[in-house]
Amino acid sequence: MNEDEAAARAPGLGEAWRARAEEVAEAAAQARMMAQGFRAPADETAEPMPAFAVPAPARAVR
Amino acid sequence: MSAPLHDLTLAEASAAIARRRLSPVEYLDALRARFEALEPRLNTTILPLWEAARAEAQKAARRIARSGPRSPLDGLPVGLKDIIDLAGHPTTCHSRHLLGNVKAADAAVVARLRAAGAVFPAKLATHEFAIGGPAFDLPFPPARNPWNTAHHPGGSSSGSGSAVAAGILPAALGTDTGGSVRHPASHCGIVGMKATYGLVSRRGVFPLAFTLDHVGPLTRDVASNALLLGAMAGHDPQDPGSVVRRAENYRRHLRKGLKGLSIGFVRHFHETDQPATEEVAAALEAAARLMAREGAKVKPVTLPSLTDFAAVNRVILTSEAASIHGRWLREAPEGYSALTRKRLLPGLFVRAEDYVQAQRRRRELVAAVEAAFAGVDLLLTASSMDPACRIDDAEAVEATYSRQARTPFNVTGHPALTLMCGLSKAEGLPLSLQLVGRYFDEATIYRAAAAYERAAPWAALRPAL
Repeated sequence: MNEDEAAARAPGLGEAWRARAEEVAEAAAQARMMAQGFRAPADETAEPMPAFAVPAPARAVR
Repeated sequence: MSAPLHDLTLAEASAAIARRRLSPVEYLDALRARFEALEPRLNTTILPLWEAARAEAQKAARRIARSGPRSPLDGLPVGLKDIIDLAGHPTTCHSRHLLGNVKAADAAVVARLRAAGAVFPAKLATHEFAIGGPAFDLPFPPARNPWNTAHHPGGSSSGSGSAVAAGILPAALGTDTGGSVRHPASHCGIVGMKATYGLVSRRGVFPLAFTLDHVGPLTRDVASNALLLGAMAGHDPQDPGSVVRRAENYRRHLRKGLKGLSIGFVRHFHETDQPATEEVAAALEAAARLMAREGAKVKPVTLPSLTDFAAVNRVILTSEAASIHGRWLREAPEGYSALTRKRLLPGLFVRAEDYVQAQRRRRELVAAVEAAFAGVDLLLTASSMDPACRIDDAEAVEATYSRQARTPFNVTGHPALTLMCGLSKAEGLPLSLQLVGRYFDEATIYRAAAAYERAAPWAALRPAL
C-alpha cells in the first residue's frame, strides 16, 4: 500500500476515489491545517461547547 | 401606485395591501413579469412556482376583501433557498444527488409564514448543499449579481440575494452556517439577518452543520427584514436547538434612533486580521462617523483574531457536514460538483480530538464576545473585505471564505445583520457593514440599522438592470 492509498483508506474512501488521489491528499492536508489554525484552549480538561447550546437571554438596552 | 410595483419593499407592499390600494394578485403579476424579463441573465431560480403562488394570492385577495389581512404578510411573496422544504415540491439543494427529493411537508419556518398568509413563487438557487459554489458543473447554473452579472452574488444563499436585489421578490429566506445569508446580502446591497442561534426553527431545512446552522431573512430594507423575522421566529419543540421565547414585534423599535447606544467598532478584523480594500475600510470609517453624528457613542473593541474564529468554524462545519455527507462522499463522489467535494472532503479527515478541541475553543470565543458586550450595546464590523469578485475567478471566489467577518457570529451564535454602506468606485458594486447584538437582542440591531439606513444615502440605490 503506498502513501496515497493509505491516506484514502483511513476515512473509508475506496474504489470510487481510486482516480482522485490528488483530491484526497489535498483534503487530508487541509484538515491538518484547519486543526492547527486556532489557538489551543487554555484548559484542555474544560467542557467543550455542547451541541445545540441555546444562548441565555441577554439584558437588552431597550 | 406611482412607483413600479417591483420597487416596493416588503413593508411598503404590506402597507399598500392593508390599505386596499394594492391587490396581492396585481403585485405578484408585476413581479412575475420582472422575473421573466431578468431570469435569463440572473439564474435566480431552480423551480419557478408562480402559477401556484398566484392561486394562493387570489385566495389571499378574497380573504382581505372579506375581512382584512390575516397578518402583515398576507398575500405577500417570499422566495425559498432550495434547501428549505416546501410541501409537494423537491428540495434539490442545487445538487444532482437530490433531483427527485420531493418533500411531503413544509419546513417549520415555511409553515409559520404560510399560516401568516405568505405565498411562495420560487425555490431559489444556492451553492450546492449550501457549501459548493458558485459551480458550473451542476444541473442548474449559478445565480448572478444584479449589480453586474459578471460578478459573484455571494453565497451560499445566492439566488435569494440576487432575486431580492433585482426586484424579482421583495423577500427571500436563506441559511447561514458561515455567513451564507449575510454574504449575498453584502454583495447584492440588501439587508440580511442571521438571528440568535435557536430563534428560528431549522426543521425541514437540509443541514450543513447542526451547531452552526441558522435560517434568516433577506430583504431590500431594514423594516421589511424586521417584519419578516418577526413572523419566522418562534419555538419549535421538534428542533432540538430551538429556544422557548415569546414572539416579538421588532418594528416597534425602528424609529428610536441611535442616541444613547454604545457601539464597539472592531477595527482589527479589517485592518490587521484580513486587511480590507481601502474603499471598504473607508466606507466602514464613514459609517462609524455617521453613527456617531446620529448620537451613538462609538468606541474601539478588540476580540480574538478572525483567524481563530474561522479555523474553529471550519473544523466544526466540515466535521458535522461529513457526518451528513459521508456515505455519498465515499460511494458517489461524482454526484457532487468538484468544488463541493473539495469543501466537504476535509471533514472526513478531521480527528475527533480536533473537533472536541474546536468546540472547547469555541466556548472561549463565546466568552470573549460576551465580555465585549459588557461594555457596549452593539458591535460594528466589516462584512466582506472586498466587493464582489468576478464569478469566473475561482481564486478570488475561494478567498471570499476567509476575507470576511461573518463567521465569528456563527461560532458564537450572536445575532448579526449586514447592510449596504457604500459603492465601489471602479465597478459600482455594493460595500457593506455588519452590526452584531447581544443574544436575542435583534431589536437593538434593527433599531441601529434603521437609523443608519435613514441617515445614509444607500437605501435608495438599485442595480441598473
